Amino acid sequence: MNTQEYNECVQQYSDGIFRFIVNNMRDEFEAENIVQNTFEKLWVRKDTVEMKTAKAYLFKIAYNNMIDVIRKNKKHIDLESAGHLASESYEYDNLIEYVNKAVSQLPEKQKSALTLRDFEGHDYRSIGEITGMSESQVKVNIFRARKYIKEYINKLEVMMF
Amino acid sequence: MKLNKDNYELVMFDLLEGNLSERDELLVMEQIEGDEFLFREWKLFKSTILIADKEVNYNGKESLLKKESVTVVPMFAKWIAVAASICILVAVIVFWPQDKPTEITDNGKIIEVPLEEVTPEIQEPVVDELLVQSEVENPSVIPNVNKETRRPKVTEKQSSIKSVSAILAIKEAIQNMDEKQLSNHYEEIKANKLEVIANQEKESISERVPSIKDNKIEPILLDEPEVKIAFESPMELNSKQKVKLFVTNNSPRRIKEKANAFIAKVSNPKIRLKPNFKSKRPSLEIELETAGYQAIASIQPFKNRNN
Repeated sequence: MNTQEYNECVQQYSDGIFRFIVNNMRDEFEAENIVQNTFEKLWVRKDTVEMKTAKAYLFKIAYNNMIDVIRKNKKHIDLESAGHLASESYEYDNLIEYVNKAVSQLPEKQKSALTLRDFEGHDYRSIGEITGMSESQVKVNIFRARKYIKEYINKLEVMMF
Repeated sequence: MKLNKDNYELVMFDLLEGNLSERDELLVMEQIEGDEFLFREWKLFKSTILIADKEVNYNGKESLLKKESVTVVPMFAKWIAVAASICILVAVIVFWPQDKPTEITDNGKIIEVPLEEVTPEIQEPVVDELLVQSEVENPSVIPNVNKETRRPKVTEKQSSIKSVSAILAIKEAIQNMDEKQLSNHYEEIKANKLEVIANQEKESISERVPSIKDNKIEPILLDEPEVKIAFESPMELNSKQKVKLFVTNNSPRRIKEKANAFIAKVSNPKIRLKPNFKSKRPSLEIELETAGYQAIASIQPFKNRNN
């Protein structure tokens, strides 16, 4: 990969990576840092990375970086989400917010697989390469994620109406 | 494909993910539209699709972009490359080996031999005989050379070769002179020698120290040739005597020039050293072999190796 191709990657994938991280972490500041680190790593290894595999490579670096950050802040996040779960139930007034709330409560693998699938249109194989899962594991995780979101939305609808 | 309570979630998931064939999709959709529960469940499933917020963008792209790196080649490097190329070209032209084999004819002249006529067997032991015999007959054959320096050290291979080559060059030069020139040359030498003898009688021995001109010590003849008043006729001189005559009566610079000229004609010299240090009188033989020539010089650098 040359400099021109690297710049092309920045233009094409930086927004997607940023959204993927923001959706998973709900922290734009951390997401910016992760995007920056991701492209720095790509620049260092640009001679060994081909353009056609650059997208999966970038998302994999971003995903691993995100997991590291989440593990560091795990206790902090758990304490925050536990306190807000009950009180925020009635704060959402549209479906997208419900869904986002449900997604934020998903396990990390399910959340990552689902966001990669829906945000970036990755297939199961590509998601497996990024997250280190097999294709069947990816499919199961996405299924469980959708089922959880469906039930979450259904539960809220029952509570509201 | 029939939907029931056990499989409807999986089928709807596959329908949502696009994992079903068109035919299965149609069958499943018919069943979903015909059942209120299934229709509501399908609606909830569709709502699980995440929609990316396109307004959320990364603002630091400019800081990530890199500029094309340009390799700066200084101008002097180009000139150095050009100069080096010229030097190499000149060196190749100057030092390109001239594979023109030569041969000594019966009358002593050196001629070039066509390549197809050259055979490795052409070896005439000219120099060794010439060198050794001329030294025996007259130790002053080699001019302005100290006895010790005339015997080259084992490591001074190149100087030994030059000594041998010098004699060959002298021989060639004398052979190339015509008889009339040689006769005139002899007359001049005779007159010069007589004058030298007369001067020597006048001067004391102490006055014969090396003269200093412009802070440079002028070389002197260490072993001046014995002056013989009765010269042989040039007509009757053989090649050895001609060599002797040339060496005796020419300056070292002239001899060196002749030697260099001869060396230039000799192509692809092969030098072989044959040390013999085990005998009572250790010696070293130096062989110079070229196309058509072979010269052997034997030296004994160690008087007594046991001491």
